[in-house]
Amino acid sequence: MDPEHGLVSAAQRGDLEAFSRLIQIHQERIYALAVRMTRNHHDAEDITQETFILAYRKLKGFRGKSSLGTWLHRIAVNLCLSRARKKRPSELDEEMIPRIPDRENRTRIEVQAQANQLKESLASAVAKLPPRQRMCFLLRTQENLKYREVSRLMKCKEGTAKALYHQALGNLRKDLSAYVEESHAI
Amino acid sequence: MQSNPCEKWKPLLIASACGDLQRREEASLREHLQSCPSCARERACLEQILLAAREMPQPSQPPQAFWDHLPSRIVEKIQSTERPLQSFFLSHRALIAASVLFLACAALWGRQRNLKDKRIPSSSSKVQRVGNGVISSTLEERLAQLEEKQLDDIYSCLETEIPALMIPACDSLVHGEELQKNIYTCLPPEWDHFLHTAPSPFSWPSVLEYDVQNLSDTEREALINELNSFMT
Repeated sequence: MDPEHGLVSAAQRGDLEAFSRLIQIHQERIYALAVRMTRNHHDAEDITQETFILAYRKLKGFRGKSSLGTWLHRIAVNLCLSRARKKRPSELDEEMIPRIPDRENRTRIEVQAQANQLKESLASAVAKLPPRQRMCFLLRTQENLKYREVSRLMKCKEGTAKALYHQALGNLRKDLSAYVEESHAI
Repeated sequence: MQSNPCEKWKPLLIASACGDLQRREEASLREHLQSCPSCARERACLEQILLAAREMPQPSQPPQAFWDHLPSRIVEKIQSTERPLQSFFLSHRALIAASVLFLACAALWGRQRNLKDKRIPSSSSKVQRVGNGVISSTLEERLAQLEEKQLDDIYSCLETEIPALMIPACDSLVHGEELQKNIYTCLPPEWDHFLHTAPSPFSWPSVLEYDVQNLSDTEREALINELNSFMT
């Protein structure tokens, strides 16, 4: 028998120690999703806590049709999107977003290094995406989820998930044009 | 002004980079790419972004102490929030149950009357309390202004055992944010946490955004279970 199943059953009966063990198992993955989405440690911690608190309250209704991890993920996705809708991009944790240097200020050496910098600049560009595009893009590229899985987590159709992913890529392409075009020109 | 002849290939380039093109479209695009360096470069740029996305630097991880203490912090919060909520429901469960029952009776009675004047039956104006809070006169007025179709929606929700609080939620779907605000303000503060947080998979904010009528049978059933389990 899956040991997690036993912990879930115990937690459903109100055993907080068992639930604490479940938190230990899943906390890092939930936090990772939240911090990728929010780019802010404080918000990510809040979302992680809220996810587990809500999960505990709803645990009696959890029937194990999906894995507990997926179920928790779905709660976290909801909370991330809900928070992102309320929060302006200017409130993102600036220290966590690598800055894109002004085009004029870049030296030749920096231009040469920009293929590597693209990865860092991408984080900044992703943070500016609309919340649902951002979530979809991160679930696809960081969590390697298929459209079907993304659509389940985001409660949308597969076609919508695909469209969100395409829109996200189109927007990133526009935002990163200086980087990708110049790195191709080198 | 002459439009860019490659503009039409743009969506296909994105779909292709994402690996989402049908075989025939992919073949057609590849043919175009052989004769169009601009599109070929664009395709490479998109691939480069996706590659970089997969290797994007991860935000720094919190120290081990954070992971060690997080479970106990969460458990403490659960313990501190659970008691007031439990006591609220225990102390008001009779009132909540009576409200639900009364609303259900009023709904069934109203339906039988066929609602010739397209107004909510006057008897339902007695429905003034949900939980510990008084439904504001604004909400009551708005209920009285509902169209027959909208009332039907509410009744069908009642008939499928969605609890009383689902009524304002359904209603707000029809009337939008203004009424939603009224509902929030007329509910007792104890409900505030529930309404503004997200007991996923069917959080209240999500429910409010949902067109309940468009839920699939499975989703509807899950929603009803979700709400019922909370109410019980």
